[in-house]
Amino acid sequence: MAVIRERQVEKLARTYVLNVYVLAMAIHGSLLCQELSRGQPSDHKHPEHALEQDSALPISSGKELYGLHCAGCHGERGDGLGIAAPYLFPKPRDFRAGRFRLVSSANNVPTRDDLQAVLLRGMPGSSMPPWGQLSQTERDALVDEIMRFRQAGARDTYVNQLKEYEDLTDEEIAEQEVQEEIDEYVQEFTTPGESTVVPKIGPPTSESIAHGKEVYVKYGCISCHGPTGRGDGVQAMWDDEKMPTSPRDFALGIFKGSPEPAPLYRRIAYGMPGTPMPGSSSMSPEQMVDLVHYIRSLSTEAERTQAVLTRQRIVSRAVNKLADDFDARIWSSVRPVAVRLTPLWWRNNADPDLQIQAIHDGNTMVLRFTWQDETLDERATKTESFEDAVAVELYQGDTEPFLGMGSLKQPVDVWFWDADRQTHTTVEDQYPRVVDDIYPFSEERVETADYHRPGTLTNNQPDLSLPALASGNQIVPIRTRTGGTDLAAGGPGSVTFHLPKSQIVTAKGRWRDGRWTVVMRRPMAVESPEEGVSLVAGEKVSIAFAVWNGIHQDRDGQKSFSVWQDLEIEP
Amino acid sequence: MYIKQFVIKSLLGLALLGAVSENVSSADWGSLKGRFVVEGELPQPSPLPVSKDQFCIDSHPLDETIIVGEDGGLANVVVFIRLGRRDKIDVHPDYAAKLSVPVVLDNVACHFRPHVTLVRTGQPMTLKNSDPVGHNTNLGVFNQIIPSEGESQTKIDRAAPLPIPVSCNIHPFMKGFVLVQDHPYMAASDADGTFEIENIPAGKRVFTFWHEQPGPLKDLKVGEDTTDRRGQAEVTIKVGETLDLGVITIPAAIF
Repeated sequence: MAVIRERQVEKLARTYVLNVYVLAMAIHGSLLCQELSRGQPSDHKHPEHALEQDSALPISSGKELYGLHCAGCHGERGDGLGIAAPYLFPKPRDFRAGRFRLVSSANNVPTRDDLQAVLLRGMPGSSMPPWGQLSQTERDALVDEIMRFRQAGARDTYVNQLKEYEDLTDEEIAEQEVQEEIDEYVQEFTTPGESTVVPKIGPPTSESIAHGKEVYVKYGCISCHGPTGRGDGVQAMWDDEKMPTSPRDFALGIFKGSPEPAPLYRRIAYGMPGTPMPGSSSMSPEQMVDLVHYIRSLSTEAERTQAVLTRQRIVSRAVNKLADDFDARIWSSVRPVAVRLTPLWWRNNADPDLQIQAIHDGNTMVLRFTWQDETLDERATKTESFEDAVAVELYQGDTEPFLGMGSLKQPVDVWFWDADRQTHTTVEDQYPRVVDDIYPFSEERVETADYHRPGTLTNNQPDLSLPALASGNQIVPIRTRTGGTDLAAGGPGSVTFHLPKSQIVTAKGRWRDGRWTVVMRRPMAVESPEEGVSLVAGEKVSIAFAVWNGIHQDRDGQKSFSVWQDLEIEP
Repeated sequence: MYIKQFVIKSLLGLALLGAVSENVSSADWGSLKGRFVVEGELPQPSPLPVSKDQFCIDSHPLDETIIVGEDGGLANVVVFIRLGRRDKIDVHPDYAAKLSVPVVLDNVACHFRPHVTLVRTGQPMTLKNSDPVGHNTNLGVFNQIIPSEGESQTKIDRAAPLPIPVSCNIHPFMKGFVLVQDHPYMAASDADGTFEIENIPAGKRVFTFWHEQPGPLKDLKVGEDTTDRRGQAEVTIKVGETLDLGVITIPAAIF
């Protein structure tokens, strides 16, 4: 029983934090608290201070930008081993090894434009978000940084080869002649080669689509992408890193690179290096054009556009009288904003169609969420069960921090609602005939299993016997709570509960007919930075969303997320 | 013993240096041959687990990792001259002409043919598919789709120290190897276990001996020498002669 309870607590903990280790949480948490008290003045309500703090962060160099936005997943060294990497699938690219998927040159080396395109559009089908909020100069600096990593990686490869196969010592490798040889190798493997001329691609016709389908069959695209293009053609596949991968389902309109005709033509011509997707140098240009038409005919323009994560403007309407009922009339007059989410651990059709509405009366902000979820998962008590949940990430300041839970210098405010906390199911509810009879710290120790004797139910045991409860660990559900929780984070793996006095978010959710409706409310002003971001009418904050789907065993980092959005608070 | 070996190796090293510098002008050639025989029992090639693609299922492809002939001859042992990264070697006129002749890597009944392809840098390579189903040929450095009864041309510009695995992602059970060298002095043993490399510039040469299962074949008795951890041993090629290494014994235990 004790074990079960600990497991329950631990699993609940996992729901909240990227990092499973409680110790790491504690360390991060204390660092974060220090940082919060040091970095942010106590009258954080005044946005000037926030701006001042941000202006102390002139993000100019590619290295800094990379450290801020990219290192969390791609790693400080660009090797794809960032702190969040274990939670992501497909895996973040190892820039050192190359194998860039989206290339427009025959030697598999991406051009600057290829890399820029990825930064602008992100990579649908993975957790790589678009970075359109950065300036062209900033993205250029990031491209430089990525190329530097690749050059360093190519250098490593060749130096290792010299050591392994030529027995060269470090001293010999340092010689100018050898260095020139290394440079030559690096140059060869990091300089884009020739690029094919893409013919003019006219609008599709029924003939071109039909012919494209013939090419699709004849050239074996069908073997992997399947007879109907649903990606169901072949057995298990692996990429060059030995990670499982699967052929794209064309009917979803999800394209890792641009689905526009010319880039798609190049992808067919060159394949996707590092993946099983081969190049097609044996196809004629006419065949490739028709194939482009056929593949595009399997999805609609709207589906292809939708697959890209975008930034929306969410306006919090100023109202005289607040309402937080699920179906209050006010909601019918506030236009819901649809925000696209994408799973960190990829699965098809994971976008829950999240709709957001916001109102405020100058004192309190109310957010209403609805999203699609076919199954009700409101209990996480059993080891094998996982719960549905939704979270809001907020940040106030000019330079947005790392989307994945901010950074130590730029902590984020998190509002969280989860179904299990709302239903506050206990182990006793879930397992009514289970007895905790040998709990080691219990004052009333019971040696034999005997139902309903004092000391056999956790509810009857003194707090002392439940250390998590006794120590005020807020992961433990308490019956008086709402479904809402206030959290703070200063980087991946650092999610921390606000202290009880700073728990000011209340939330409730309702599942009906395959859809959740959740209403969250919080006072706009905050007493101290510990309570989170101050919301001021007439101002704007950055906001992002996450949804967990219990049936898919979503928890902690395994969730669907949005990129930063704008929350504008009407004056 | 250690000192003696050291002296011999040093002398050999010096001799090699001499040989390399001589090679540029050398026009005298010799050949090398031998036969690999497995000592001990090895399992016969077994059917691969193929569950998709009816043509491949019906082709009953075999795992060709280890192919041992009736009297123990081991196929697909790769033998090639190992050049240091700055070493040059003369190329016999017969080979010079062959540089423009394409090497064919075919897909036949869901196998790569040959199982080990030998190709020189810059030499044209024809990737072929004789099957009625589509294949792709993935060498890491390139990955091309080869339609049924179609072909694709390519070439590789950089040598690799050891054979590179080649795979078909559509049929992940298919496996082969490609060795790319800056020179033509390479061979793969045939079904009988024999190999021969002709018209090698005379002198002391370092050869690599490799098989896909163990990788470099170390501790192999090759003529006077024994292969090191990289499967390399030194052999002296004499003008106008074919050096027969005879039977080179490979213990079954290393597989």
